[in-house]
Amino acid sequence: MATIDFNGATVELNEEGFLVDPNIWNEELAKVLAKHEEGLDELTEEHWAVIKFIRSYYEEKQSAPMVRAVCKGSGIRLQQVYDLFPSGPAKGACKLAGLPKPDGCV
Amino acid sequence: MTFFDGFLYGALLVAIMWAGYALVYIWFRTRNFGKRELFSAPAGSQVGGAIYAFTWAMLPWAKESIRGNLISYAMGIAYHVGIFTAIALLVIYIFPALHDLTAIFLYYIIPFALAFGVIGGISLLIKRMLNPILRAISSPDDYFSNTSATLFVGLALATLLLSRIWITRLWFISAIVLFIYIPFSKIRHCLFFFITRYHFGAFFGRRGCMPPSKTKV
Amino acid sequence: MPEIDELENRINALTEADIESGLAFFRSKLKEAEASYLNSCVRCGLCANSCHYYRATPELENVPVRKLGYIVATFKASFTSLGRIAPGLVNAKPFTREIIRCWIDSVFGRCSLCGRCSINCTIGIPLPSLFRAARATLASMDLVPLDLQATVNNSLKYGNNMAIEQEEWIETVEWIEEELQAEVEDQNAKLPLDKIGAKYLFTVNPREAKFFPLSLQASAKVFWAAKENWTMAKDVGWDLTNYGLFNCNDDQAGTIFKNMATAMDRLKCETLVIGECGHGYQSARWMGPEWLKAHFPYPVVSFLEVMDEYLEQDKIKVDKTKNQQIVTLHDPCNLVRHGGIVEPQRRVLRQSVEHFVEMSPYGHENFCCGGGGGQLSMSKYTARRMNAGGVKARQIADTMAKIVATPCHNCVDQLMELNKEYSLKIQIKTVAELVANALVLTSRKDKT
Repeated sequence: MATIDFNGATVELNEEGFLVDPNIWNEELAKVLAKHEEGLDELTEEHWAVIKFIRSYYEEKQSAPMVRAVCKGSGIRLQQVYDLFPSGPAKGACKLAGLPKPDGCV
Repeated sequence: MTFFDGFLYGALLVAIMWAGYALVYIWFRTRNFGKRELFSAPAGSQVGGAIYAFTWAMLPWAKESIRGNLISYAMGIAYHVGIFTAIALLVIYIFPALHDLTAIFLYYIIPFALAFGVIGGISLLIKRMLNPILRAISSPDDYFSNTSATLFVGLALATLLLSRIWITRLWFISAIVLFIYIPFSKIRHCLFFFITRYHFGAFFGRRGCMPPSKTKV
Repeated sequence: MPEIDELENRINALTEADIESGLAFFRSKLKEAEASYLNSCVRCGLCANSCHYYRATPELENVPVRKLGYIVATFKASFTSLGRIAPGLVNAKPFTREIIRCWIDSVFGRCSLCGRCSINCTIGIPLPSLFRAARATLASMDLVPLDLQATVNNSLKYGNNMAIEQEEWIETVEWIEEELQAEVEDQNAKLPLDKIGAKYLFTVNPREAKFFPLSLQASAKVFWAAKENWTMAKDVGWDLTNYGLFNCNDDQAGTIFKNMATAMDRLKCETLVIGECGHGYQSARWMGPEWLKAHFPYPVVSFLEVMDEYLEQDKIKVDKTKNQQIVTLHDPCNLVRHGGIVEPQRRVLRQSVEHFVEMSPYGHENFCCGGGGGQLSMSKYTARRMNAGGVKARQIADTMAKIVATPCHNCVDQLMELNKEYSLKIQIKTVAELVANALVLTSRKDKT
């Protein structure tokens, strides 16, 4: 199992780089994940709009939102979501928002 | 013919009958597992797939596993040709009437086929002993099967070249051992190869995967 | 790791009776053909190099005959006289916890059921059929890796493997319809739901609805261009996936498949069209009738065959200069080696892209991307999957292609991961996405 250093503490990631414990997520950790998992040095306002929407959706419903809901809720267009997160909405955006890995062909 | 030789002939006959009976028994045991009824609509022919499996699919260039292992393939072919030649020679020795008819083969072709068979068998045995992966997947039977068949081919060659009665007797004994051992061993593939390969071809043939389509770039 | 602990706990909790009934279940999965296969391996070892796991990591446990060996060992010990009399001679091993662990590690952890070993087998043993029997046995003992089983459970509970609610599905379809209408500037471009009596019932991968709807939009654009009478199910039956093919629990697989069969009956369509998906195609076309033990009154076809027919009959026109980059094709094992769909995707691509190159090898000799057999869902084996996928990554790099087309969302996802892991700098697209991009729409616009 992989781990990353976060403010001196060790954070556990599963084999695919998703947080083992989604509850420890915070915005600082998202930045570390962005660098470590997606190779993003900086998160723009658009990134945050997507991440924050996914996170609040997850905290309410304990699941990942449809990409349609992401576009609607964050105001980001579909193509832009793919451009912002090279690994896509699931393995990119949802991962940075601290969600567990969604089931299925993802 | 001495009493001992008569005994050897008899024992060989019994061993062959045993091998035949036991293989049929094992075959019936597999048949007892029952046929699988299929419901999906076929896209191709089971028979066509099976024919392909027994012909073109076995050519040296048809499979990557052969293309990448041409020496093993050649050794395997030589080994099997050697074994079938040794069995043919056994038939010739059992029925002396065949001796004259086959004289030309006896001296010009059969010795070479047997020699290649011995080389094939020994090289495959050495490969099994030296290659760590092969060694790890092998059971004692893999060594016994190879040894008993290779010995049978080697003694056939010695019989032909040296014409010593005690060598001929040893060869017959090796044949008896081999035939008794067949049902206990992986040499049962002399039957199951054909059954498996038929099912293989029929399965992929039915799905329209075999013969593979000629794709062009 | 919680996953391993949980399966390990279950193994330790097995009673003798559980193991006995597991064995009886294994016996019930074997028919004449499989019993013959189990009697015919000569351990020549030539299968080793056919396996992408072995190619990537040439170690003993990755050799197909080694994986098969654990199953043969159990078969011999339990169901043959020789195995009982002389187990040492033929390496017969009774079905114990230790062997069960080996089964799990080899059939779930080191195999994508791609079948490449079987076409390279000296004898011709269809190894995946035996690996399936082993997976089915483990499923009967509740020993399926949890995340794979969770994906199956989603389908059983929600009717799709990503737990998408009906409302979410409908909203997404309406959204994509709007997007399509904007793209083609035609208010009559539709994604019809529950249209009774349509010619085609089209099915999709939930991944398209949830995260990647552009491929659905592309398929819909092709249907629109061909003026097709098509529909998708509003209720369950729109999802073509079936992870029951991977946990090999035939009862669950049959239950999941019934969703599509029921939708066909309800909507009275002529043909069931499976969207671009390897395992979905094998499930619906070849396994569905076996799971339900029924002959279907309607044909089941791949969307690739539909597009191929459109091009052949001039129902759609494409301009290949619209796809200028070098395109190669990845063949999904379930569609090609196990499905027999080899040429349609090639005919379609040759007409739709300017530079089409094959990988080496390709077609029925292709290498698995590494994500098949449910591997994508089993997190525990991620490192092995990514490593084994290196074979495909090198194949892709050798073609110099900029775009990899693949008619399978499962493969798309694995290829996206390979792209990142091996810095391939490629784009991964479905065949329909390339066709949709190349469509010539002028004649259509003149009429509207």
